[in-house]
Amino acid sequence: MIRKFIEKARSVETVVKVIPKLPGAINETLHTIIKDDKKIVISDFKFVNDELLREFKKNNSNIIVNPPDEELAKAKYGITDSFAGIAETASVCLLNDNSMTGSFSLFTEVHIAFLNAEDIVPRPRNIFLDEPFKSITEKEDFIIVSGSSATADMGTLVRGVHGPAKLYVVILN
Amino acid sequence: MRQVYSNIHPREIADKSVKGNLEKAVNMALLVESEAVSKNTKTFNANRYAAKNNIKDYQQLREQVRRLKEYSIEEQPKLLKELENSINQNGGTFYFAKTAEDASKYITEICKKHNAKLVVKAKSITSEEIKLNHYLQEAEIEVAETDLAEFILQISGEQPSHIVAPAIHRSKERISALFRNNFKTNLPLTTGEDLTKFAKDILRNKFLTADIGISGANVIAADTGTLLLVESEGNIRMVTQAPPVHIVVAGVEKVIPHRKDLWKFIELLAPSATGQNLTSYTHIIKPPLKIHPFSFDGRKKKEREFYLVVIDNGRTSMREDSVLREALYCIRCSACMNVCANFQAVGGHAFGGETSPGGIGGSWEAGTGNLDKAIFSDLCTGCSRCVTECPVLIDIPWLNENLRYRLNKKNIPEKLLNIIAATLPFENDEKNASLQKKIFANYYFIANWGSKFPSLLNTISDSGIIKNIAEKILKIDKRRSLPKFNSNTLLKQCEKHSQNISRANVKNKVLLFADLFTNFSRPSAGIATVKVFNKLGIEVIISNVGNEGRDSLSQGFLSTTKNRALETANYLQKYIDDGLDVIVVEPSILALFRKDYKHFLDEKLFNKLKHNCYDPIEYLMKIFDKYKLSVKDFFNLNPGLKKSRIFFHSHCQQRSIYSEKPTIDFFKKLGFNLTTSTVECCGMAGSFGYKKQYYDLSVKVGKELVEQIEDAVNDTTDFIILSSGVSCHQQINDLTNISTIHPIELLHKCLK
Ligand code: SF4
Ligand code: SF4
Repeated sequence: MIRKFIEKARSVETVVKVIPKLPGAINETLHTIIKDDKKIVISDFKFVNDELLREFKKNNSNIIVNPPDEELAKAKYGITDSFAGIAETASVCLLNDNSMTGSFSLFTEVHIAFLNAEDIVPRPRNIFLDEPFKSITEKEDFIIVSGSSATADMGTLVRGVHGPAKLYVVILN
Repeated sequence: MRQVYSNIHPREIADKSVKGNLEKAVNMALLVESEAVSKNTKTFNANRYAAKNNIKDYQQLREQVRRLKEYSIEEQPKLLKELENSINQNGGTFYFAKTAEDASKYITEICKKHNAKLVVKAKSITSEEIKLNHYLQEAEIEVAETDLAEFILQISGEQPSHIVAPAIHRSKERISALFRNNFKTNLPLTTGEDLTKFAKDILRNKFLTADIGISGANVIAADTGTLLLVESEGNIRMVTQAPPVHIVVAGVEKVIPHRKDLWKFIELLAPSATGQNLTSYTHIIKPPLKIHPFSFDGRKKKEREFYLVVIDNGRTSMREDSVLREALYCIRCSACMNVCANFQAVGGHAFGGETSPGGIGGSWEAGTGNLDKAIFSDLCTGCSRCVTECPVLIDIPWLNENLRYRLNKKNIPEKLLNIIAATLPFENDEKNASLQKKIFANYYFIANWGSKFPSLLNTISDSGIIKNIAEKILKIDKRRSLPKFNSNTLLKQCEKHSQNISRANVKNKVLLFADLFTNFSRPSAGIATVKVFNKLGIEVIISNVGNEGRDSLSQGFLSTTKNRALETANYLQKYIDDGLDVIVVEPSILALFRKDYKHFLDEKLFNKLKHNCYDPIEYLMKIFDKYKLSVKDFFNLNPGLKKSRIFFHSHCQQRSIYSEKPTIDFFKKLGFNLTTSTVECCGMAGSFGYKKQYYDLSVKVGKELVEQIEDAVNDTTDFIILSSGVSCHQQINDLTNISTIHPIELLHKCLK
């Protein structure tokens, strides 16, 4: 399933990183993606253990905790978790609620989504039909993100319109 | 004239009920918009074919969605009540608008109530239908269209030309010129990236300061008040969450019963639309969102509010109309536009109305506006390529034939011409149709009559005078060569020659249907069929009727077609009941029996025809399989013929009934190197290419086929060009002077 996810992600220019569930590995991976000192916002994690980000968060002055709205609009990196991944479409599924997952993954230029490897399902239908995802999708507001924001309206395919130009999916295996 | 047409603004000719607008629009689009439309629709089209092939249960999925839509429309009143309850329970406000005006006024009132100065809007065809922007601007509320295509259109003042990509008719260069002119900027704006950045910077500011967001919805689930919204740019995400107030405007047909069924639409929509697995963002939300309200500019925060405005605007009448009801099943994917050869050539400013483009657009314009606005449905040639591609199995050409029937009734014929037309057979409800339509609806009679005096008629039909008269009175373009009449029809040739049936192998008997086109225009294909079948030991009986109704159906003469269908089917039934299979050489007639007749016959009779009529090579394939015959015993493999390479253009309707594959497979078996055309249609489409008003369009479509032939043939002479349809043969012949043959004629040449 991970292999399929990676293969499908390639065609939509989503970068996938598969790493172990370890704070050190996560810290290292995030630093390979975030190389400048632009502002970072991190949503409330409900499906991925946010303790795993402790090393990354430690003494990181670029992270804005509880950003005021004006700051959010200026942040460059949005880090979120996801409650499911879909292999066939290389998608991550995000809550669109007060955890701010749906907002931090929108206003920023780069979206980094964490996904537990065991939460990857084959097709979109599986998040509606199979537990434990079904209990989420039957009541919560959510977004299936299947690539960075894109348009073909300007004569060519351009990534980075009103949402992030870049999507990274970090699969925790 | 070119100058005049290229200066026409699309908005001026959007309403096709205005006399002359359709013709002007076609000419404008061919000159100005064709290139961009063609490139973009063909990309979507190719991507859709690929995406569809990747979905293993595609057929089941589309049938499920079709059933779901049928159920939803049937149960609409009940679902609307349920939806209203759900929206109220969620803390939103539900409003049912009977008319477009009602909806726009209501939305404007909400905006005023919230003291809105700026509204950000996501793409919504429905808001276009109700002319919402006009009402908001009248109330001095600024509207920012945030979908980049709609942003372009807001500046250019044009109507959408496609439902998924509304500015599909604009090339990068034309967008760049528009921006530079409108924003008086010297920025280079040469690349797609430049243009996107320029627009998104403007819009970012709008999102952050807007008072209200307005969007449409792809699907709405009544049980929970859940919306499904799909997009790629992220503007819907912004519209639904950046401002505190969200208004959704959607047609009543978008409502389905259950949230749990949304996945079916999710899996079907994007592959059918742009050929993506999914678009970047798929929202499943039950507003008002549970995200704290934002204020990016220091203004006081407001509580989130949500309004759902569902509009009727003619949909209830569509629901009660057994034909237009089908259009309500549409999930607005655009497959029928991308696959349509005529649409690829002109796009929705010509093949479309004020709001709705494409083959399905006529029914929407008629249903939500009035019948006269649907006149552009005349650009539907009935090629049926969209029928196999529509994910919800809507028979779009049938809808257009019905619109034509209704429009014919409303036509006011010229008196003098009506006297000429009175000599032709038609039913009372068809008497108002134009002379041109009456002539084409009765091609059988013309051909039959012409076959009696062929040499005289062929000589005069080549003369300039006759062509001028035909152009003036019948509006048959004089650049076309008129079909040649032939006294040596298939029926006559068969009467003269007895059959030489091989005693070997298959002892069988079939009926060869002497269809209008094979009998009068291409008897050689009929004769080849007889000879090949005889060789296998199959006796061929030739039908003595041939007036099956394809000509009348194409002109919307539904009553006449019904009579012809019944007469033909009753005739064929006798043979089928006696155990004979029916062979039909011309694909448009085979498609008539297998597909279109379902609208005219009872189910039992229709199924009898559908399951017992065959294309000649399809039938051979069946016989070879059944009797375990070897092609080597009957045909020379990759024969001594000098030409061993084939270019095969199969008729559009042949592809729509899936009868082209046996031909391809058969010639491959014989060792031929075969290339097939990839165009959806040759552009001739029976009478369409003869009509003066559509000649240029027909040639534009045909040229692509010609290019493919030329590319394949590529200055070698080692090629045989096969075309299965008489129309395609005429088009290729007219545009290249290459004479094509029917596949069965080549098989005849390969006989041992
Ligand atoms: S039948 Fe052919 S011409 Fe008519 S809308 Fe469909 S694809 Fe277009
Ligand atoms: S008619 Fe069918 S193919 Fe055309 S837009 Fe509607 S659903 Fe899509």
